[in-house]
Amino acid sequence: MKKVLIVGAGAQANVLCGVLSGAEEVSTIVLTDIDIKRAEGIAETNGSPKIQTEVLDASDIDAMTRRIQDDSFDLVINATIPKFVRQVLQAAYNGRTNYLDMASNEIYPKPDTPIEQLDYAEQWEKAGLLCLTGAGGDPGLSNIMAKDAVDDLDTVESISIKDFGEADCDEPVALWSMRTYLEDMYLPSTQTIDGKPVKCPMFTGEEEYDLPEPFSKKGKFYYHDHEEGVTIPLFCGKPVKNCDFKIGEPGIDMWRFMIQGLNMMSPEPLEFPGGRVSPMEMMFRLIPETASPRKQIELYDSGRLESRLILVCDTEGTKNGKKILIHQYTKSPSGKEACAWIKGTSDVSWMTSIPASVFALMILRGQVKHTGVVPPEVFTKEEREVFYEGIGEWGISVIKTRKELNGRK
Amino acid sequence: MKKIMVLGVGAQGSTIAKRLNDEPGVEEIICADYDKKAAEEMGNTLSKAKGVVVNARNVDDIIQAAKGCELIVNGLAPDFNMNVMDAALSVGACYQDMASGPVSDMGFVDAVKRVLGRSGEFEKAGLTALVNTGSAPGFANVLTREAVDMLDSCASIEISVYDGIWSKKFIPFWWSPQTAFGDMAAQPITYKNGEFVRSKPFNNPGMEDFLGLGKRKMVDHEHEEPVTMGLLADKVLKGVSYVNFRYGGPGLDLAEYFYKMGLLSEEPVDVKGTKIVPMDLISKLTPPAPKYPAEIQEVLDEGMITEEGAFLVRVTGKKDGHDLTIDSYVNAPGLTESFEKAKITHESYMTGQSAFLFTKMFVNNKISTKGVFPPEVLAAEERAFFLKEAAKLDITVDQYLYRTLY
Repeated sequence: MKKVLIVGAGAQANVLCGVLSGAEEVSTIVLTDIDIKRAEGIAETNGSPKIQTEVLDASDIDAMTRRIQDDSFDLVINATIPKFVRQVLQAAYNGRTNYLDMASNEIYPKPDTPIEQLDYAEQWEKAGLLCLTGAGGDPGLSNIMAKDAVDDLDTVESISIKDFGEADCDEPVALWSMRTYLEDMYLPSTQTIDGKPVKCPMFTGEEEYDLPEPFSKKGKFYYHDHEEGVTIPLFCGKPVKNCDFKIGEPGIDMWRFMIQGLNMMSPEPLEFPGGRVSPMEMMFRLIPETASPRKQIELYDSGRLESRLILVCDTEGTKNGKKILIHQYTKSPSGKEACAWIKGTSDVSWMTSIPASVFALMILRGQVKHTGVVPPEVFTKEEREVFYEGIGEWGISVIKTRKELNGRK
Repeated sequence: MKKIMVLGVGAQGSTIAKRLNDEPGVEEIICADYDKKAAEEMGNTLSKAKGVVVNARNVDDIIQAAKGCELIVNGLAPDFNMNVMDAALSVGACYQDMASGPVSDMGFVDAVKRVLGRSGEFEKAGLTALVNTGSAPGFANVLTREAVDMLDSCASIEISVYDGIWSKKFIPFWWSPQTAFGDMAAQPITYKNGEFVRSKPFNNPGMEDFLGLGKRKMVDHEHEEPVTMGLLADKVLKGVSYVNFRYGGPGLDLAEYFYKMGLLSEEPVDVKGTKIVPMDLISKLTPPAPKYPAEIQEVLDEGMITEEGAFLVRVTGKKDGHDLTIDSYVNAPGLTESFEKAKITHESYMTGQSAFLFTKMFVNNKISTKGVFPPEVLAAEERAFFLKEAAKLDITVDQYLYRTLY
């Protein structure tokens, strides 16, 4: 029987607990957070006796190390905000336990380090441990989709990944950490262009894109600071000329107006009658907290919130001398459907943490044959098939079409 | 009228002054503003204008500057309306303004009633005070009355303004952004069966299918028309029982985002121990509406994202026993065309010039009624003069009639 430690009791942990608590081979889930009430809230909503809640500070490497060493965990899942990647990763290593996370905090912190997890690649490899990084929806499922397309081609010209979501509610609601979202929009993003990592200013890479069903409309996209654009060309197994990640939503131009036009994410303090405050501080004060499971249940059940998400991966290259476009997109439950399936979830946490849960179960079942620090695009065809089967059981599927370009898209 | 004061020479006031400068009967225009530079700019560029610094918080200051004027055109925010009306009565001048609210010392409906409530004073002095004279309110009120007069009885009036002028340069609104954001966050007022009904901001979202433009999102919006038309329902609008004002456009979408996030709130919030009013931040960061030709040119040079709009007055009622819907669409130039024609923005072209047309009615002695009233009170021949003059400025109206036969 397997024991899992989850660090961070937010929206992702709610889904992880929902899936892992139902898995036969998982006997114990220790769900931790600096705020015990958050962990207790999830445990209460879930109701499984396998879930134990504890206080744990993700910024405290020693405390986390002691906790991991005190028990014989089979996997540490980092489900807290990306700011604590280095700390949780280090604690898992100290406790010699396999590790999984869903995001990075630093894209190219150094010229030879695409993401901060890779700073530790050598020690994890030597220890024979697995650090599966970027193992959520995007990054995660998106990387698997890209790798699938890469394997279908002889040469790869470009990989373009898109994330489009819409949430309609009569009050401000965050289904994801809005702070992280705004920071990612404000920061320059790194994309692979002509085979090299290139820093792109905020709100560049503007594109109107025809979204597939069920959206069936045009969506506006911009480059976004994400892991796929830098890890996939390095790990997918073939040279890739261009690889980018773009984000879109119906209100993205409003964010552009606020962030780029009005400079509302500026960290420079301004003078007010009450004192000095930066626009960024004011924004962070006013944006909504990520909705709690209880709040999401209330909003979806009352019909006040409707939300849906899609991931798209377009890969261009050649096969047998012909130009090919491989177009892939996800089908997944709407927010309301997700919340009915595992109480307190949304389409966003579903798309992120169902893949994370399946990756976790694959590690626990010994179905991932890798060691060291790796992203999901290293998965073999067999590993990918197991993964697809796993997410399929939870309503996530990928539609894949292939088209000869003949010089035209 | 030989001597006229334009008090407040912002985007609209300066447009009125420029047009007045070309009026043969006008000999002197007192261009008054708190901003010395703005007042002097008018004095230096218009042959008949004299720039004067006036603090409109002080009625005596206005009186001093307005001596000898036969008309005061109030281009200031509605908070100054009472002071300017006092001054007009004191110097024996007619009065014109462009809005009645919102004001800081009372609610919107009461602000409108307070202005109209001074009718007796002006009537007694033999003076005319024409209020709410821009595009909406203003032009919209004239069109409303035109349509209502075609009916035997009136059931509903709905005024819809969609502003889709969106430039690559970040300009959220083409009039005062502080006023605009304040208006957007206000509770809309709808006149229903003799009552003024308040609803939440951004209420009643729906898609309006505008002729030639298509479907656009519109919401209820606080404005003067439902109030004045509700108050005058029986007197001039044939017993109308429903009046609403709707607004839409990218600026509104932005304001809704801000509103939902609490950024338009006037209530201080605690940011790391410092009390800050969110609206103060927005006011500080939002660029002012471009006013001078060089500023407008800069916006046009950077390029436009969308340049579209719609101005619709829909009146329903009965005529000869049949249901009749009358849609009146105003045709007016967009930003590019307005700048090409007159070196002003589309907002000034429509609002400032509409206001000027009402001023022109004063100048040409076309208004006979005394007292305080909005444009829906104007008589048929007075409205005809207004609409003919508007057409000369390429502001025309297409009227569509939809009649249910059986």
